[in-house]
Order: sequence, then structure tokens, then C-alpha cells
Amino acid sequence: MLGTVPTTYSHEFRAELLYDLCAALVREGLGGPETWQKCEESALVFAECTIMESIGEERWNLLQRNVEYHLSVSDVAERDGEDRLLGHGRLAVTIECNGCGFLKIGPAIAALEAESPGLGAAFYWTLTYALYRVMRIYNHDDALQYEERMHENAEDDEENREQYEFPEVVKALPECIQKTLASEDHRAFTLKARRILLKHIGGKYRSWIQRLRTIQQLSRLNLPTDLYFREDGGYDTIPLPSLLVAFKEHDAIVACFDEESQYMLEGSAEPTLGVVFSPQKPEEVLRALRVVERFIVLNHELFQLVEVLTEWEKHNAGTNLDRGEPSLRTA
Amino acid sequence: MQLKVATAADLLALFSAKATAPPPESSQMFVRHFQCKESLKATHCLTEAMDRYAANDGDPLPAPTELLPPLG
Repeated sequence: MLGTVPTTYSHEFRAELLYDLCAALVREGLGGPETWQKCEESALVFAECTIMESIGEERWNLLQRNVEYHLSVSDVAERDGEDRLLGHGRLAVTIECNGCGFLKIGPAIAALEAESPGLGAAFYWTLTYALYRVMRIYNHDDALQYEERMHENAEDDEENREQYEFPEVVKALPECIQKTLASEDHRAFTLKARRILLKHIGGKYRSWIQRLRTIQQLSRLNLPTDLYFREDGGYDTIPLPSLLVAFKEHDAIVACFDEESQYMLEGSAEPTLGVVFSPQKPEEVLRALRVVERFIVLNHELFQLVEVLTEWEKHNAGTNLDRGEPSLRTA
Repeated sequence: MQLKVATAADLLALFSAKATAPPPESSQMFVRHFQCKESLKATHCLTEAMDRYAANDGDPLPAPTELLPPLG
């Protein structure tokens, strides 16, 4: 008797939004009749397949190897800490990061400094500021803040003050980064960094510098996350980091990250990227596509750079890359 | 009737037709079910009974007390 009872059931609420999204993707040339046939005429599969095809297999595999991103398109978004229907025919595309990549940049900085004093610091700071514009990263600055909080906690904790162990982040920084840490004239430093990088753009480390320039150029495109997520989301924390940048395998920055990351997944975090758009408004669709495209292309460049530096280090610095069991790290 | 899809324009016409079409009967039933308190209660009773049946090695469930004849 049970054999006649259906075991699966498919139901769609507000399916018209899904068809509007599919139509928008077709209008932007991202999907066509061939994909429709391939997806056995399922709108949901068509939308997913079209987005995946536009990301591309090579980019997809590179990102999969290095970081854990989740892309979703939904008609609900978090508002004041709860999922709320966006309404008015709107959708939200979000990218969340649940496992960050790892860049051990110390050996590359040392090599650049050996090539020309100041080149390593210029490379590091230029990359840092470029990434700040697009995504959350965890680096020396987060570790310094964590250390400062530890000192404050120790001061308040008279009974156990002696038991505190501090990470000593400044000591973990390469000398060239320590020297430039408190640069008072940021504009002058940035200008100097640009000049030194330009001078070496055709030099021994041109592939790294050219990739850095691409990342920098992409980061300068004015395509921010919607204020809807920043101001009204009601998230517990800022986005989870997409990349951990440390100088050595197990330095103070990694130690701070490992401590902090134990609590990072406890609350709700703002998405790394979020755009609200109406699939019926071509200009909004175009903007959403540009925001997502910039993010993916920049990440593609970034993680290519990460892999190039890792490979270079294997052949030139010969250090062991086993970083044990990371709490939030992907690579 | 299934539309023939050979070009992007056909596909756009198909999506437009699907977006404005009324929801299928199964979806409408689902909506009616969620809007009906009695239907939701009946579902709750049924799933609860199924859980008890499964937890009881398939033994028949006892009849609800209110169905028993009043004692003389």
C-alpha cells in the first residue's frame, strides 16, 4: 500500500521570482536554450548551472582548493537578526565565507627585500590595502588588536594576571614591516610603495607584482556591498575573514587567529558580499553581476598569487607546509 | 502546451509565461493546507501517531479514550 505514496514532493513559493532571475541571466547572455535543455527544463537547476558556468570550472576549482565560499541567491535576507522577505520582487545575492585561505607571505617579503630594500614592505602593504577594500582578512593588525585586548583583560584580572601568555605580535613581524608599521604620512608611504613596485614590475619578481597590480586595480572599482547588509542586517559580527595572512607557519598571528577563530562561528556574521537587486530591472541586474564578477575575478587573482607563492616557497625556501588542524582555515 | 525553445527569445518568452502562470494544483493544495487550522492539526496528529507506531515496534495504537463507550 505504501508503494503508492509519493516519497518526494517539490513545491515552489514565489516561483515567479525564480523565472524572473532566469530571464535576467538569459538577457545578460549567461544562459541559453542549450543550458535549458541540459538542465532538463528545471528553472532552479538552470539558474544554478548558469551561475556556475559563468564562474568557470578553472576558477571554481581554484577557489575550492583555497577557500570555502557559499554563494546564494534568495528572496530573504537577514534584517535585525532575523530572516525577512525582501519583497517588491527583489532578490539578494550573497557570498559567505566559512573557511578562509592561508597566505604565508614572510618568505616572499624576505626575497623582495633582498632584491631591493623596501620592495617587500611595499608589496605587503599594497596587497593589504587592496584586500581591505573588498574583503575581510585576518592579519597582523587583527593579531595586534587581540593582543591588546589580552593585556586589558589581564589588567582587569588581578588574581590570574601572572597566568596570561601574550603572543608578542610585533616581534613576529619582519623588520621591514615593523619599520613601516607606524608610518605617519600614509599618502607619502603609498606613493613611495607605488614607485618602488613600478620600478620592479619588469624585474625578477614581475609575475608577483603584476598580479598584485591586477588585484589593486580590481579593488579600486567602486562596487561595495549594499548598505542593506551593513546597516540593517543586525549581524553579530563583521564578515568572517577570507584570508589569513601570516609571515611564518606558526607565528604569533597564526596563534592569535587560532584562538579567535574558535569563537568566530558562534554568532551570525555579515556576508562577505551582499547585493540586493530586482531581476526585472536590467541596471540593477548588471550592477549585481558586476559586484559578484569583481569579487570572483579578484579572488581568482588572489588565490593564484597564493598558489604561486606557495609553489615558489617549496622550491626556494624548502619549509614544511603542514599547518596541522586549522579551526577555520581551508587550505 | 510546451513551448519550443530554440533561441534566447524563446526562452525569455517561456520564462515570462511561467512567471505569470497560476501555480500548479499541487502548490495550491499546499497553500490551502497551510491556511487551514484543521488540516494542520490533522497532519500533526497523524505524524505524532506515526512516530508512536514506529517507536512501538508496529503494534496497533490504542484507541483514544474519548472513543471508548461510557461505562454503564
